[in-house]
Amino acid sequence: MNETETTSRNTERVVGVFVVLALLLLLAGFAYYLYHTAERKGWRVPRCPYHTFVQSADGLEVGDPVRMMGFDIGELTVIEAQPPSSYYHVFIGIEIKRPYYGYIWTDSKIKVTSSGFLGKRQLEITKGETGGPTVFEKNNRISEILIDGNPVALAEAPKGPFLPPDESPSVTERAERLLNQAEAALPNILAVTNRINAVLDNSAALTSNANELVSEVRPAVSNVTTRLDTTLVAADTNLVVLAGNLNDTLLNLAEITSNLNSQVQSNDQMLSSISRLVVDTDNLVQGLKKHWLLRGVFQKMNATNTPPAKADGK
Amino acid sequence: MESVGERALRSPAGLRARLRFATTALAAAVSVPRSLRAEVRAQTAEQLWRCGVRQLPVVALLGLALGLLVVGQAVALLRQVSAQHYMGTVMVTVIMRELGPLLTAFLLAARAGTATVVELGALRMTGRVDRTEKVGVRAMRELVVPRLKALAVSTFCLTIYLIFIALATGYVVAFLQGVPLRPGAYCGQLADALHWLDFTLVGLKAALFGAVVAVVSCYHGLERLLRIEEFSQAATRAVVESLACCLVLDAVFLTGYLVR
Repeated sequence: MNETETTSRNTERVVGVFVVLALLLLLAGFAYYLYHTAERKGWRVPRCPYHTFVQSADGLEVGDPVRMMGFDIGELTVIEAQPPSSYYHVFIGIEIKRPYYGYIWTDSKIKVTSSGFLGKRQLEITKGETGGPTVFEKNNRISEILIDGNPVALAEAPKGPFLPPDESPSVTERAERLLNQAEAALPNILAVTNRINAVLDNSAALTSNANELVSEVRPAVSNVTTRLDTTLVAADTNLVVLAGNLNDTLLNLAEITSNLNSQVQSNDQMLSSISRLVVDTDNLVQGLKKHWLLRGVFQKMNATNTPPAKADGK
Repeated sequence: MESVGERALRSPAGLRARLRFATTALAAAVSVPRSLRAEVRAQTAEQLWRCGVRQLPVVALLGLALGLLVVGQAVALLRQVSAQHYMGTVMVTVIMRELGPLLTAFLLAARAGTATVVELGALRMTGRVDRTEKVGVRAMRELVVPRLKALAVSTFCLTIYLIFIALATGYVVAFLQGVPLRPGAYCGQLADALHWLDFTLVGLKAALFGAVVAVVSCYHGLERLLRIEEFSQAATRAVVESLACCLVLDAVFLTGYLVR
């Protein structure tokens, strides 16, 4: 094998890897896409059919998702018009994936709510609260479903259990109804507008009158203000004089109080002098009592003098 | 004005000549005699090496830039309206359906197409291809068919590499920008935005773009005997015509997407 052939073989090998790797990448992408789509659409999980009736199929399409608690739990499979004599107008068939059909009980309802602004509507099932389950499983397969309160095999009731509808009209229908109401209410609104106009006219006239009144009252108010001003100035002057007099009086009173204080202090000295005089006099008398000349006199006075009477008479 | 008028008069004939060349090349590609198969195969492998494997680094760079720019801008815009969950849709629509095949074709037209024009023109000028007559079936089988096959396959493969690199870069950019998105969720978004037809149409589109680039380049290289000073003009014309044809073809595919 020469060098050229070896190079050629190497080139072919690298080119082969290049092509095969690209193909593998594409196939891997496609395989992941298939896997994810199968997961999303629930191709590998069992499904249980349910049905309901609505008044209008407006905004509904086969393949639309059915939602519960914010999850896509299945899809709409059948939309059929009912016979003319039927109370409901449209038959709706849906399929719910495991495990979500376990949340659908006998008290669950299908709410048909508006979705988006383009007249689209969606089916939303409410979770069961007080009823009983509608699907029974055995060996990981749906064995029976509840039809009119009785469990029957799934093959015997291909439409599945009935769920009562709770239908709300689409946004366009609601908008149309709103417009009709607005049109009907328009005359009343116009009448109200006219009344408001009249009220506004009256308010304008009232404001004008009030303006005139104010301009008339303004001189009188000005006079009263001037008089009040004068009176206040006079009162202010009198008050100043009164305050001066009161100040003088208070000063005199303070002087009187001061004199009285000095008088009281003098009296206090006089009383202490008198007290000392009494003590000295008593000392004198005691001295006299001990003097030989007068001792006898004092003894007689003590004998003749009767003791003072006691309170209890003893 | 005269040149415009002359071109207008000449264009139908030119278009017919190109279509005739393309149909001849396609017919030659599907009917290669057994005796020539080994040679054609070796030539195809050689062309695949030159137009495909050797262009991989540039395509990888382009994919990185594409993911960086598209996702960088898209994430910034989508975050302003709290719509990060549309990132997968943006990536699929912009990169997988449109820019991936188109940019790969542009790149190959610029790199491999011009090289093809010069190479074939030189072969004819040096007499290795018949200088006097129209291109014969043998020359078509030996020179055009390998390039046609190689460019179709190269564009297909490089488009897939470009898309994967751009998508991976896109996730890294989104991650760096703080978008709370796990790899599984990102792949889920991409898968949600995809349709099974995308895989078929992207492959078909890329291969057709490559075939168009090959046919246009070979046509301009072999159309007539080129003088040295005409090579650059022929190469430029080949690139411009390739881009124009790819855009027209892309518009046809876009119509297919919209009708779907």
